Amino acid sequence: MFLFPSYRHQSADSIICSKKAVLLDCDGVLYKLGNALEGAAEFVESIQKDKRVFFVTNSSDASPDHLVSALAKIGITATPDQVLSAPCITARVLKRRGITKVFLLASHNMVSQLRAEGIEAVVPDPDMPVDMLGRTHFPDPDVQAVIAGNTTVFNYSIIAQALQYLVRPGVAFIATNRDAVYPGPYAPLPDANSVVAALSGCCNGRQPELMGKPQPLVFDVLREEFGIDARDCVMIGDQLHTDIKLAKNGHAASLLVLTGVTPPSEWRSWVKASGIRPDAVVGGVSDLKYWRRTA
Amino acid sequence: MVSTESLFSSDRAKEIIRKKKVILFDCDGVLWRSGVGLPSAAEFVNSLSPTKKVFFVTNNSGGTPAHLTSKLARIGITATEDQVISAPLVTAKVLSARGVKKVFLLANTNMVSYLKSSGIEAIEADFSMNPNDIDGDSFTDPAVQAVVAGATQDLNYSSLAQALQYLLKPEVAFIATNRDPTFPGAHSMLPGANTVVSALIGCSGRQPEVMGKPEPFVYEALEEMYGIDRKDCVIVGDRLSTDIELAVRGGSTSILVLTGVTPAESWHEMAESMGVIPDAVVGGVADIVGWDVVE
Repeated sequence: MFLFPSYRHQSADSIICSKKAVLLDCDGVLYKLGNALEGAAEFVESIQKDKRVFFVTNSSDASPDHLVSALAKIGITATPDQVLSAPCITARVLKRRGITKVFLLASHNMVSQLRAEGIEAVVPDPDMPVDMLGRTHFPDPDVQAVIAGNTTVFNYSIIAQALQYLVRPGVAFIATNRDAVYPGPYAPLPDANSVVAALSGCCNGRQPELMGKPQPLVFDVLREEFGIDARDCVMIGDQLHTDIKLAKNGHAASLLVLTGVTPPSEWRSWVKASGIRPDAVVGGVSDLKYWRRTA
Repeated sequence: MVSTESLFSSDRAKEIIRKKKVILFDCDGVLWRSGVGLPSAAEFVNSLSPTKKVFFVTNNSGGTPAHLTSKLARIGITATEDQVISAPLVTAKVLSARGVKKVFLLANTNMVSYLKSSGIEAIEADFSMNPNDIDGDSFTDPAVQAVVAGATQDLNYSSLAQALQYLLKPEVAFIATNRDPTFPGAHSMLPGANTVVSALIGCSGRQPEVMGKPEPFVYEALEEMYGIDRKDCVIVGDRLSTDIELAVRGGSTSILVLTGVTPAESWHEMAESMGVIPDAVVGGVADIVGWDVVE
């Protein structure tokens, strides 16, 4: 018999009480389309007092400083080292593996994040004529990995340039994240998975190693850099396949909110269809403002 | 049971040519490579008429039938446009038979005229449009019945985002001319149609219906236009996943040549691991010259 997770605030509150660290997705949890979600600032402020708080987002548009400013605009105080975005995780993991040079098909603000970890990023020239490849333009032999993420500077030429690297033996294929779309101002727009799939499609289906959610590499970073164990964490997010799955993969607790991608009318059927069961479900972070009372 | 390695035999290939009435040639890697005619290609093809029917079955959408026949003529092969069966032609015929009148095209602009001669209007992306201006409610033309994706070097983020808006509508069909991963450019392998198709799969989550090799629409086109029975056909090609697979699926015969994408040293391993076994394998079409001389 399939038991639905309890849709009661008390269960969510006691989970938060029992954990030392709270990992927060941002879009659909704290804000939506640039506007603060109800109770977001109050909730984050209340947990920052006794818990370690991190912002775990697959968004590759924001550098840590950018995200800190965006959070400040909605009344949330955060520091850059609390930001564990997919690009941040990517840079840290690759540094740990001794990677020093990469070919970047991802957001340009990753260049500085990679440089901070001692990794040089080669950025493709989108205007390079493809008939120069193999004639006057050759892959840099020092490049050890191709990193794919969301980039609006995406065209045939940069895919062709990346292909030259991906066919070289020993060159790793890394994806910051594999989200299919993100909410544009007026319509859904392609996210990293279109770049990843385009590369995979010309490389005989070669699959990348994923760095962001739901891959649990963020827990390695939390353990090694902050001394926090995954079992002491709760991940709060709006997407089953990234946020909740991340928690499952890492053996952390999980809490689904219904202010983002997963709608209130559908969450039960989506949980059943996916088999991804959050430990608790609440309408939004505003429902968590009394978590302390269960302590 | 015949071992895979023993399929490598020009006698075996010649016997097949003697028996079959219809010879279907892939072009790239079979008759030419990097624009240069392969040894004895013209001699072999020209020796087939008048006793056999010859067609050139290509997934390449870079040129019109007239381009292809000129290219064949330049290497000494006499052919007429009605002997050319391309993925774009098959796409236009299938869609026209289904009553499609208007499509959104993310493929080679040559296809606009193919589709037009089959009574189908094709609109293309506005490559300079800012994707942030795409309004989900008003952007799409309600008369568009399908997105047609194929090989094109005119691919950028904006055009992908525009195609996505159509694919988000379940009533709009998702059609791919073909899914070849690469094609041989002048100096290097370049991304093929599968780059565009995969990028669209990656952001839409939808799978396309494929028109070109190895799908059977090619046979349907041959049957409808010329009364050809697929069992009377032998396919001479260089790619296991398209040419040989087409034969295997369609119940026709196939000869694999090693002058193209399939490496001479590993063809039998690739064939066995893919489960796609040709009926004969030769180094090149030069090895089948003299098929009509029976000792």
